[in-house]
Amino acid sequence: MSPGRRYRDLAWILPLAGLLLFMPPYLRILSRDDQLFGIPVLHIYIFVLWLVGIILSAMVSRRLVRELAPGHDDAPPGLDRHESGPP
Amino acid sequence: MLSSGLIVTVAGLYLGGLFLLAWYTERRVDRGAGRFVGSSLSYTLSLAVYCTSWTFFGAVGSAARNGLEFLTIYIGPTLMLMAWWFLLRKLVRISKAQRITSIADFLSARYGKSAWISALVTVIAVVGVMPYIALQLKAITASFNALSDNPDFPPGPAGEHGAFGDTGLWVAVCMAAFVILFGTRNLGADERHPGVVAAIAFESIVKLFSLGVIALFAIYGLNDGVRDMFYRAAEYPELQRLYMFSPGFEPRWVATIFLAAAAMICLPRQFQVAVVENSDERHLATASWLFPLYLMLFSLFVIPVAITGVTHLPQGANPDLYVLTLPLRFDHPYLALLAFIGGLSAGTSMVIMASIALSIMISNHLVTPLLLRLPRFSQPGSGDFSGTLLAVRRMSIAAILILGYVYYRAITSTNPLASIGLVSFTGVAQFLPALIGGIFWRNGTKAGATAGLLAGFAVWIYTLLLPNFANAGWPVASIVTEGPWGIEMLKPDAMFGLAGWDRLVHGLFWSLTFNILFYITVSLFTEQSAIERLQSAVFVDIFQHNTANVDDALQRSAHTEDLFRLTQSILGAERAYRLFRDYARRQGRRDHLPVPDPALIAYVERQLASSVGAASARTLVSRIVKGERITVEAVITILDEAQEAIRYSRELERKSHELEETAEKLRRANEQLRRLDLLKDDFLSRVSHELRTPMTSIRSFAEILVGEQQIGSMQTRRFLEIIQQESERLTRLLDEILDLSRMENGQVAWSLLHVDARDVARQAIAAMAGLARERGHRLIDNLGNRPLPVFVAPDRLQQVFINLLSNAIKYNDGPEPVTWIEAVETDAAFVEIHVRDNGPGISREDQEILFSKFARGWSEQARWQEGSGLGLAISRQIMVQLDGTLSLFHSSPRGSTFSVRLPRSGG
Repeated sequence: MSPGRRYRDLAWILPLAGLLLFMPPYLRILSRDDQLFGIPVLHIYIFVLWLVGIILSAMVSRRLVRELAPGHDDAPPGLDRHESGPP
Repeated sequence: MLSSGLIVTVAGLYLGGLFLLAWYTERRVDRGAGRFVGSSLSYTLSLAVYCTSWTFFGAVGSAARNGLEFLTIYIGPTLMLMAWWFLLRKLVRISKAQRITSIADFLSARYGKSAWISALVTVIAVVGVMPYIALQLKAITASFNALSDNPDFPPGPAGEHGAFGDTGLWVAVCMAAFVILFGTRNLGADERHPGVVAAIAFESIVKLFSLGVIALFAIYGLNDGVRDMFYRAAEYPELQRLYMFSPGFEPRWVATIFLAAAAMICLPRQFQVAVVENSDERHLATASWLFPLYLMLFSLFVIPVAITGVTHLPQGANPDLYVLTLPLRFDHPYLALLAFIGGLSAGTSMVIMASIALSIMISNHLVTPLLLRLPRFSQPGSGDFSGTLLAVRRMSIAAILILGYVYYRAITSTNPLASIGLVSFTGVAQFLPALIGGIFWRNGTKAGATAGLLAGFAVWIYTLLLPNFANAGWPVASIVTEGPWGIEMLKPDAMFGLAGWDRLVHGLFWSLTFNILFYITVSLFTEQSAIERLQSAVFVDIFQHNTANVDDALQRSAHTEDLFRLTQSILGAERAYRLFRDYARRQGRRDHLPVPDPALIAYVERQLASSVGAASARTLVSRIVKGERITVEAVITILDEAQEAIRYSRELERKSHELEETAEKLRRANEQLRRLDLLKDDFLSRVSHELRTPMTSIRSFAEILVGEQQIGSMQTRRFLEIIQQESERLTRLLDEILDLSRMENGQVAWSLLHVDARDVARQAIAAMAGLARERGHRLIDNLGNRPLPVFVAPDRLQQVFINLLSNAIKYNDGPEPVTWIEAVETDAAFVEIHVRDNGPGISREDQEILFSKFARGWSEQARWQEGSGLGLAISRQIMVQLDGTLSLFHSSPRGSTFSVRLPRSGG
């Protein structure tokens, strides 16, 4: 599998995995009166999961952004670029 | 407590600064120098217009009342942004190509540029977002009242002085003035507002910062760190829901995650900042992680404020105002002022963006279509329309805020902030089926989208808005409690007997169920018109099609003057002139009037669409162009045919590839056959030639003997000897040919023995010693003393060596002819012997035919030589039969080396 394709797969796996892990069954397991470092375990689970998702998302995006062309404005080619901006 | 005057002054300064920022940014962008504006950071921060005063004040209230449920509002958009590659990227790409100005424009453009759909979406958006704007007014008013020494504290919307004494009205008026100044300074080339976006981005920083400061104040100022805060919280049983879910939280949890994710693209203002204002798709990549990070921080700050509010403030304090009342109560009025500014920035950014987005929709989709029917505007070139359009925008902004204020007065006094926001979310979520279906499903029709939107909207009003009105004292309470006409099955919060569910989840479920049901069913049973099919193809396959081709294929015609006058009336004289001049230049024309080719018409239509929306632009353009109807059909055919043709040509390509391979195989087989045929002819001619030479000499000597009487007996004897020699040569030749052909056919039965290859080679050397001495040729034995065991027919192998040695001796006419016979070190599996001479070498062309039959036969030089010319061919065949090889190892003008290679025998 080429690396580009792996990242395109991750692009849909990541939000789906996030959705799954934020669903009630997982939260219910951690919905308990326990604390870690004085912080409720449920808070730790939610925010650590959130942070990991953000980091993974940054990694995937950095890779995918290379496949995008810079800008897709509808100005006819050869025209002054300024034309498509505000006058 | 702070004086009202101070608060108003600070708020005024803040808003004034904001205006300066926007003004300055637009000026820089005009000069092409706005670096920050085009950056992915400012794009991400502008997305954070999502965090309104609902987040700022309401999320804390929601956390204190309902626990962790407030997180769903931020988890939903997080997931939506993470899926940017599939959804947002496509929306942005389509909107760029189609010059989309709003979500209503998007849906209308997808469903055949229908003016009806865009109007419907606009109405839904206005009705849906109105509670949300009211919510901002309520939050700002309440925070103002809480902060000032207003006697109304705890706040209520209406003081004793009537509407004019109501802070809310003044907030609404200020906002309206502000947005009108901001958002409608000019009619953009596209609906982008770089100045506004910069202001929004700035406000996003302010609100995050100020909430962060309050959170830190709560943790370290009022508690002794995080551990202490949670320790104290444990004493309040009502705070337990902040770290444990109460039973039955699941439906609301899932529903609000879904709603918040949908709101990220369905809310008009979110669509505006995320899609319309997007200047580069790559900004989405950055936003996909930076925006979730922003949301996570915001959520993180909410929790300590909510906990500390409960633990430190007296019971009965409004949780929605904890952000303000915490610093106020503990004598930090300026911290409270900072919190107020944060809330103000959250509220204003939402109101600015929402009213700009809504005013674009109202003016483009509700007012313009009506205006265009008026005789004044229905003729092309009938005056400047852009001024009218701006006026309409300004009036719509005023109308939106007035409506918001009315709603705020009428309804919201009793509901907490968060629940109002969720009702709005559910309203705009009705766009979701038509939106998602529109970009992934080709067959969604205009009728289907209309039916779905109407059904969803109706159910939303019935299940969610009606109970709100009832609470506010409208005479609809009986419907809510008993059902319409007393039919229990149709009660707004227990439809079809689905009782016991939360009202929001219930309303969301039924409205979307009806929405999707109608959208799909009606779509399946209705046909798309030509323009709908064209647009659906362009939308769904945006990543496959090149839209430019579609332009060229749309064969419409118009007069350039008509097009110009139309453009001038909508976009203004200067822009129209520039647009046409540039286009003409691109066509390579000297004057300013381009040739009205179909591409120009499509281009003009898109430019108009960027100001008045797709549907109105289409109406306008179709007034002055001819011959469209037939050709749209043609475009569809072209699109369909093109795809068919691509498939077909791929198939053809595959087949022709297969054919080519087969042909190549045939060609190779034929080549081989022809070569064999040539070889056969060659062989026959050589054999007959070789047979003919001795036969001729035998015959001529025999004729002499028969015919001449006077020959002496000496001479007769000589002639007879020649005849005998020639006959022997003839016999030998025939034997060899037979031998060779037997070997080639594999008809050999040799007895194989285990022998030492050195012994065989030495016997051959001994046999050739006489000939060598005769020619002054030295044979040097370098076979060494290590045995070379092989399993062969010894006399046959000897024949090979003799052949090689005799060739080496015969052809070497140098002054000191030498031949070396040497054993070569090889791997364990083979033995190899080289026969090396210092003769003249073998020419390159001779090398190629060296081992073929009669190779030497043709060479004139060899004519007088002995031998049949079959020697090497036979030797090679022998080696093949013995599982070995015979090859020319090396040849140069200083000598040749032949290699004899055989498998080493185990015994």
